Amino acid sequence: MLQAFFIILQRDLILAIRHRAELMNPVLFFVLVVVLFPLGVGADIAILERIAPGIIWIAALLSALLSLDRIFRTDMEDGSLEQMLISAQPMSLLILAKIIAHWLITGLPVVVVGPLLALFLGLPAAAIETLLITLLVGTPILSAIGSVGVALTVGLRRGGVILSLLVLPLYVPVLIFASQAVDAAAAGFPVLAPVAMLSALLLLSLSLTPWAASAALKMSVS
Amino acid sequence: MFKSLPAYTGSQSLTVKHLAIEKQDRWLFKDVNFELQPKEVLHLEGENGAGKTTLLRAICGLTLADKGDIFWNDISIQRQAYDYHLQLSYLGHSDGIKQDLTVLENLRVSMVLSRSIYKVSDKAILHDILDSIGLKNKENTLAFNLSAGQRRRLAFARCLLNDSALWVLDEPLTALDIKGVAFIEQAIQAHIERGGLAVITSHQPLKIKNVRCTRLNLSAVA
Repeated sequence: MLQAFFIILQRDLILAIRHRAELMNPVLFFVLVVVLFPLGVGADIAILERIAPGIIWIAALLSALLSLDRIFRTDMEDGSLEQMLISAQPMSLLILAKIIAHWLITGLPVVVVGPLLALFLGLPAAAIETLLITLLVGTPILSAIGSVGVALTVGLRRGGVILSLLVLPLYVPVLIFASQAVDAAAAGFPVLAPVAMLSALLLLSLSLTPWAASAALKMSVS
Repeated sequence: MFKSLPAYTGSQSLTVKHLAIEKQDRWLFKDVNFELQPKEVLHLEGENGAGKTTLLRAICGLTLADKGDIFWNDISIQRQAYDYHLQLSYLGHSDGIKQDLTVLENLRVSMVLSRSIYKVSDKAILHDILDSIGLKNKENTLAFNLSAGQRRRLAFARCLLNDSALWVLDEPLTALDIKGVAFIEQAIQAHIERGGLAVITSHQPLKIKNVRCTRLNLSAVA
């Protein structure tokens, strides 16, 4: 069983590395959105500092949304998904591997680049650490929740809009708790409560979404 | 490599009772009934759009039937998904092969997913399988660079990885050359002689000797 988990993880990572252009896409999008903000709202450091957590997190959310479809779409198109569904391995475990692979490909680069960009936006050094923690805990939730959305819409030929409508409302709690935590850190308040809530969301989503996505996929392929 | 394998253990049976599937408000077929015993082949016939692929997918448990039931050893396949999938090899319309993985990587993923009787690390067996499907010396070629026929052979290799007693083959001969066709016929022959079962759709005639072959015309039950 563990072997199945690792071979799917390895498979998705190899596929991502062989498609370097696609690999760069989400993180490039993330950087561009953040860089455009100072151009739009002006270079007033007081304003930027105030909205920096929101900017970073909204950009992270949108870049995750941009790459979600890839979790299952290509597997659906070439028939690999059918083979996974009729395989002698638990589907939820395979999906967990795919979620983690998706996070490593699209989430981890954002975790690395995010704090750096926040520095450019003038976020106080005290809040950078909290931002890093929220990104680290929060971005896997985006991949996990997204997997259910993609699983539900992958059978539709044009599921793009529905996917956004379906997934974005579920992303809202992550956005609220994460930016609240960074705001609190910048103002010098304790951040334990929102970070703890985020961690709870992470555990909840990682343990429940593979089952939900598996059930949704069975409907989507039939 | 077929000669050396022992007969399948146990006597298996596949029973389909009163199966009916509806698609886009139209009955694709109503009341399909058959029973398949070891050493039997069911050859599905019917014009394009008669529902052959849908019936095969239903037998695999991918498409849910609107009425009726499918039994493996007299137990509904929905109730024993795991045991059933261990006994099942499915070659679908789409090959289920990742274009950006090499032949060997594709084979390894299939092996783990199907809980192959062979070890993934067993190089001799892997070479044996590649040799028998005619892809010797191609192990490090990307599947993208294979011809359609070679990809079909690679997809068919899934049937040889596991001791699955039931083969469900959807047009196994498409894109194959004369040698390829002969190879697949041989493989099916060996499978049947070992006491296996097979459900096949094919527009080309299959030359299999000394086998009880039932024909079922789906256009007749529409």
